[in-house]
Amino acid sequence: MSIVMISTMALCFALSISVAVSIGLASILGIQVANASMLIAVKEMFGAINKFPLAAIPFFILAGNLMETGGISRRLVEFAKSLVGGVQGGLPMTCVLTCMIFAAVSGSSVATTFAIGAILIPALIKHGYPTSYAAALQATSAELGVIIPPSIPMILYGVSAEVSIGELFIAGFGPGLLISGALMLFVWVYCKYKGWGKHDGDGRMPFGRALLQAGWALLMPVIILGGIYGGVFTPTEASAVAVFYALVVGMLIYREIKPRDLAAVLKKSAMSSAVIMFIIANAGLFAFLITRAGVPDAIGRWLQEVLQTPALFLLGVNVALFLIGMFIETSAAIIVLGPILAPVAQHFGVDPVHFGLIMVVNLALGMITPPFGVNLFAACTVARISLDRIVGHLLPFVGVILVCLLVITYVPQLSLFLRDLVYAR
Amino acid sequence: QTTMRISISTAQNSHQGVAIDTFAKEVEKRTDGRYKVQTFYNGALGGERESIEAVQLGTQELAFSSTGPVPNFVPETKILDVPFLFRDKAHARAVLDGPIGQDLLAKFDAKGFKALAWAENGFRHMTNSKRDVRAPEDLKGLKLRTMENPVHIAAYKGFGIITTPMAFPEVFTALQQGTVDGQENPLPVIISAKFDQVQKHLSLTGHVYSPCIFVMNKATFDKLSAQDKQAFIDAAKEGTRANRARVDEDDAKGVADLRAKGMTVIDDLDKSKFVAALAPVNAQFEKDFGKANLDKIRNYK
Amino acid sequence: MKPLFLHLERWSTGASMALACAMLGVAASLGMFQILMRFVFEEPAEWTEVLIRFSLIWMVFLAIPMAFRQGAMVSVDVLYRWSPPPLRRVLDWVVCVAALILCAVLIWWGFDYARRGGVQTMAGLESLSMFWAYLALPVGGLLSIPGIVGNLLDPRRQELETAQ
Ligand code: NA
Ligand code: NA
Repeated sequence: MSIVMISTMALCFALSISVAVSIGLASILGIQVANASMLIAVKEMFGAINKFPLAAIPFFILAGNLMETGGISRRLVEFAKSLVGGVQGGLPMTCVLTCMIFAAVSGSSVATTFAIGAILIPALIKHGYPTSYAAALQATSAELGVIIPPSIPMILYGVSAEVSIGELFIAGFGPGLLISGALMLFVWVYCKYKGWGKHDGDGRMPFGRALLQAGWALLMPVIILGGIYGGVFTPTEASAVAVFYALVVGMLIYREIKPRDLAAVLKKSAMSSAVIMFIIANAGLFAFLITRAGVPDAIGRWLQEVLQTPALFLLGVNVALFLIGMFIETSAAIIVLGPILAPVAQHFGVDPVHFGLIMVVNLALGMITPPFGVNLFAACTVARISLDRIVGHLLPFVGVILVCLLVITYVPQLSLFLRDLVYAR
Repeated sequence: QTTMRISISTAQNSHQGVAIDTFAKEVEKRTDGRYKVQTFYNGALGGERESIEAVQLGTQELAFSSTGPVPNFVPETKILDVPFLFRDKAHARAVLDGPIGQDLLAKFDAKGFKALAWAENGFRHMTNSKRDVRAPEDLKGLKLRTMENPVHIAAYKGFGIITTPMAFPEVFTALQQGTVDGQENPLPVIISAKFDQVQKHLSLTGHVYSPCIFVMNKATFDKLSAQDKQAFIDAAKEGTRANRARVDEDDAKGVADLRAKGMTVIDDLDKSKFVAALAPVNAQFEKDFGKANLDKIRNYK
Repeated sequence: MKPLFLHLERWSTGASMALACAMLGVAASLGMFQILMRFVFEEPAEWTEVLIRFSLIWMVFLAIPMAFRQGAMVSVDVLYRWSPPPLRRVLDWVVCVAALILCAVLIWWGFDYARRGGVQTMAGLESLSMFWAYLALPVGGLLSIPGIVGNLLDPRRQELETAQ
């Protein structure tokens, strides 16, 4: 059944049927083959998007569009440019940096893609970067959303594998900084090599003026972070605050949003949200059928039997997770595989917190590996390009994350150093 | 050989995991291997509401769940959510295994379920990050995360608690950041969700008993032979036995475990004060559920 | 015939999209309301979260007709771009039929789901039946049909046109 589903999906993709419909049709065929009830199709589609934390996606999309129309994005980009814009490739570096800061606000990568992408993808295109490069960069940087705490997948791993969530969060900082640093270094070198971004610094404001004119815009992350860490609202609710903050600043302070612009902003946001959420609905159905058929379970057991040393086990797990991450949504994969693999890891002497980081980073990589990659879908929606065009520029980024993943896998101290410092044992 | 599926939303190594593992083993044994039950853990096939709905629709044969989402399907079970209805686990188990519990199980038939047996999560207790709760006055003004259950909410409001519904995956972070002050759950849930890391004070209030239930799709059950029907029911009873033994074990170990992890555990509070504080709310419950019905449960021997 | 259909299609897809926008606005406002009620007034409402979830689900299913109409769904269109016009027309038909099959499932089984799942009430809003939440699936499927056919009669590929 799984084979039928995956090959149908690939065929539909090739026929240029949209991603959501392809996944849906493959699942419908899977249900037929399994001789199960077609009610599963509608029930699981509904269930996949009937989750409160997902509300962050449409809200951050709306907030992003309001920030764009209301002039907040422009001022933020000006500010960022004044900071690192002088360097060749300074704008892509700004993208990584902004995602890193935003990740401390958001627990979801898709929301990060929309919130930052809505500002930086147009800015990158305006500065002469290829659209596909901008989208690939944005999709990759947004992975930091689930690696730097707070993180929805870490909570899911902690709960399902019975591992401390507080420790997981702390352990996320090291790998998050490693990936941010590696990405910044890589875009800098890559832009030099390609000769891109020589004019990233053109027309940039002096730091003081940029800071002043971006004051209200810069207050936004402060309010959101302060609100979450001060216990005023949850990370999901923060997205609704972002909407209203952007609306008030854009309409009443900058006065760049006119009442008649609101309809266009709502329409654009509803459409982007619907496209991505409809993919999530169909992907949820697909993952359900794969899980129901016991595929992740079988893979876990097989790994346990075949791989005999810790180093081999971690390598095998990484290869398997990479392959699984291509097809299954991150949260679903963590919920199913966490409790199966964590005990095996412990048996091999791998710290369960360290193992959790390996799983989260690897499966977060799955968010940018085709054919199923929510960050890719989101970045393509923002940049308005088709999925296949992003792949060329994406591969080097996947390579960078893979190198980071290997470092994270074989240097446990990177994850555990801060943890051991805080939770002295 | 026919394969059926059963799912839980907690880990395999839990009081719910032991229930479905035992059930699966017993079904296979008692039907000479004609029926095999495939087990799914950690909500891999969806949360509790989703799995109960799947059983109702017939897309999944079996589910084991707490009764949290059940009143939305079978409103008659709401009565079990009334606070301080049961004195202790022995009382609750006797009621559910006796005629009252069996009558309630029969109420599931009309909604497309065959309810096989009651089991349990144990009693719910309150934790918070603000203060030790020894008397009902201590609860006043606490922001407590609750389930979206109207009976619970009415009662907690009676204590002066600020009831805050919140999706479970958000609760840990909300407790850590102080978005809410506390939450209430049975000990095994408190331990497995690691709430001890973000909550200092635990009071063994035992304010609400949390039953669990084995449900089966009615049409699937009706197709079984009389002998197999009995085998499924008996297997569920075996599952319940294993489940209750594990809950007893977890309760006994849980308090010591949470104390060792640095929580202050209040285990000697005077429950009668809490019951007295709820008198006005109770009057409303007696109107809603019938005083006779509540007394029948309270006085069951 | 074709102009009349496109005229009616514009009307139904547009109305559906307007409702979707309203749903998004409602959900965002409820999110803000939820925070205010808990943090400022200390009287959290138990019905806001459930309403946010369901308005967003309605938003999704009311906005996909327009996404189908404008060809805005994310897709892999290497083959399409490399194809000569006659083959492109064949692919247009394939894409259209595929989407219609998915809609047929959404309508037929979605309505069955709404009808059968409707016996349960909403957690947090006990007076409402889940029927009203599940109804989004068949309604979205039904409203998508004019949009899908409209895109076949008068193709627009928003993804392609804006790509570079
Ligand atoms: Na984050
Ligand atoms: Na992927």
